[in-house]
Amino acid sequence: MTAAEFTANDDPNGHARTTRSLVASFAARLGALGYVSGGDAIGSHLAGIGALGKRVSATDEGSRLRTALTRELAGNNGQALWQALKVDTWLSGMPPSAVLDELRNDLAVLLAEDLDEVLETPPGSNAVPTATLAPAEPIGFLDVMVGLWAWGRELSTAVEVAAGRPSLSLGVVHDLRVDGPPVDGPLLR
Amino acid sequence: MVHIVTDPPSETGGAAQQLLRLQNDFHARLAVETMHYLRGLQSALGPAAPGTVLVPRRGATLRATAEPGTQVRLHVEVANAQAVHCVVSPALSPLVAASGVTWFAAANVDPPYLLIAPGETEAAALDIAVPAALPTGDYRGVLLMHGAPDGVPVTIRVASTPAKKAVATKRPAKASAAVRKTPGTARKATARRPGGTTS
Repeated sequence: MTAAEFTANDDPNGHARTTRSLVASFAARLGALGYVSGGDAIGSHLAGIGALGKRVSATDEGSRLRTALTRELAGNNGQALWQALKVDTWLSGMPPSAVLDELRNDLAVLLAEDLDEVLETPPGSNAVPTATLAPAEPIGFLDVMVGLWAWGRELSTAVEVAAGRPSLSLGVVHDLRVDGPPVDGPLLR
Repeated sequence: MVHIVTDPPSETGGAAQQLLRLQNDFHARLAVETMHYLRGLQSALGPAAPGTVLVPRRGATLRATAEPGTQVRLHVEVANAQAVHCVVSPALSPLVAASGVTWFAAANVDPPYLLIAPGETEAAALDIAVPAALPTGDYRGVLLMHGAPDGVPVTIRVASTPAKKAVATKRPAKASAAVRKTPGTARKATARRPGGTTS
């Protein structure tokens, strides 16, 4: 069989993905920033990036990128720096953020047609989901590098999707003489 | 290096030092465990991100047959039963044969990023070029997607005889695929895939 079919469902052990729950999750993330230090926030985010990198390393592209990094000076220097400054020890104790889910949820909120209705009646505290305790795992330099690569690609694609996938490589001319305001400014004097 | 030997510590001094060392170890361990506990508490009380679970409807295993030097195509279709948009980006793991050959297949996923509106269904095709030099055999791997932790098992039978299930189309294999014979060196892999996320 050369085809597989899936249904994307809500996690039966978690909260349903609705505009309301995603807004609540976003608000809770913002609110949590007031209760944690900047170091913890950065560490949790980087730990999440590293956890993503571990998963992506299992893919064909991810494994090749990881292997290539180990062969390059940058990869070796990064690992040396990581160990000398004990960044791996620091990140391994951090609760990893679900960076990919958060990014996809934020995109879904931007594309939601009922966002105005939800914002008129902000979700109550009972709508704010709480995280389950993620198991601690060692986070290495290569995990973070591969995770940054994957997360960066996803981020740029998400922004393009939110913008309606514009053709950025094509030239565009706006003739302000026709339908724009009067053009004035120091560059035109 | 010069070693200066001092008098051995007395019984009382040794016991006191040992007690001090044990106390220091205890405090250091207590600090580490406290930090782990507090961070665990922070995680448990922190906000979660509602996620997506991909449940297979059909095709628990992807199978295809191809000749070396051809191209094989696999399909993935996802229906969004959630109330908001979801994103799926399939990625293939390296494929391994029982003979010890690892095939870094460099699948071209089109589109690499499936944005699926609520109630809609979207599909992606994975085009995999089979290198002409690839030894015959059954190559096994996994199609990985965020939300399907175990992925979908993939088996591609590379046979030198014409494949009966003609899912493969005659096309010269791209130079993008890398084959690694264990032990040994990998062939060059150069081509890149268009943007998208591999998870």
